[in-house]
Amino acid sequence: MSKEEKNIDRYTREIIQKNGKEKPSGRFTNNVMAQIMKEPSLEFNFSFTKDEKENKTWLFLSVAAMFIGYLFFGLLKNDFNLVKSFEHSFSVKYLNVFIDFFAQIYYELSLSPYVLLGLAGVIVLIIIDKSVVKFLHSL
Amino acid sequence: MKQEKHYIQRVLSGDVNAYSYLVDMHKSMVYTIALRMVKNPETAEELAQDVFVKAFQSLKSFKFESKFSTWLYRITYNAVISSLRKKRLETADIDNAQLPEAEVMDTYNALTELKNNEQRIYIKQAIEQLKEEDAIMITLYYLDENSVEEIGAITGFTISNVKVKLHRARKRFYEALKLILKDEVKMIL
Repeated sequence: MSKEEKNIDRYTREIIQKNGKEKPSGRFTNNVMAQIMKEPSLEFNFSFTKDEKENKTWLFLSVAAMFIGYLFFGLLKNDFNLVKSFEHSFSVKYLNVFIDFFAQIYYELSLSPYVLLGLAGVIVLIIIDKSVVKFLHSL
Repeated sequence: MKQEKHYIQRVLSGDVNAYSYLVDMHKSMVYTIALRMVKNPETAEELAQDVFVKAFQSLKSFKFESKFSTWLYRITYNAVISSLRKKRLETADIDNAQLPEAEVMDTYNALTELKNNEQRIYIKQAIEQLKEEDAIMITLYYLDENSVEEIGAITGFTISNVKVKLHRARKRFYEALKLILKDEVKMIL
């Protein structure tokens, strides 16, 4: 583009921009939105989906850290003796703890009204939760 | 641009109200393009509203390959052409579109002698006297500062054709403006 052409362009741009853009009526946007809302093609979609991009790195790192910590604790307790700590870590002798725990619950379980009320409350909450989710999905 | 993309994505994901932001952002230019071509404020407003409804309906087809404004102005241009009963626009004849700088300077100087509101009135009158095609070229290039390539994408003309049409439009604009200013001087005298 020659210098003369550039000058002409500059002056013309200046002149044209002096006039500026035209303004539509004040209700322009409202009118457009009203027309759009009447569109039969307009469908409102509600979708409840999990975020696919959810980052699970921290979850895996935490699990790995817990496992490593558990092994390290075993080693520490057994004076860093690998064989001894392995035997202790994976032996079934601790299983008794779980059995004892459930046995205790079984013996202590009473059918007092409070326990029954508590159980009923939990069941009602689960039913409400399932119904709400089902209703939202049906929209 | 980034914000515009955000609003487009919000509309596409079902937030219809986000579209009002896009309307507010582009309504003046869409209306200006329509008005410059149809030369009637009521028709231009109706057309501009139709353009936004059409753009909403086909927003899914917008692939972010061009600026949103380019895509929108193309819809505007096509809608206006269609409303003008698909009147075949005259093809570009490479006539003498040369415009001497001195002539532009004379007009520019004469114009700057006037008050701001008077300047605006005469510029508007000159634009209104232009044919729709000349008016749209001037508006897109000088007012909204679209590139020749973008104007080509909006109007469907080749780049060289846009350049020729732009030169011719500019020349006609100065002819009209000169005539108006000459009449004005005569009236004052």
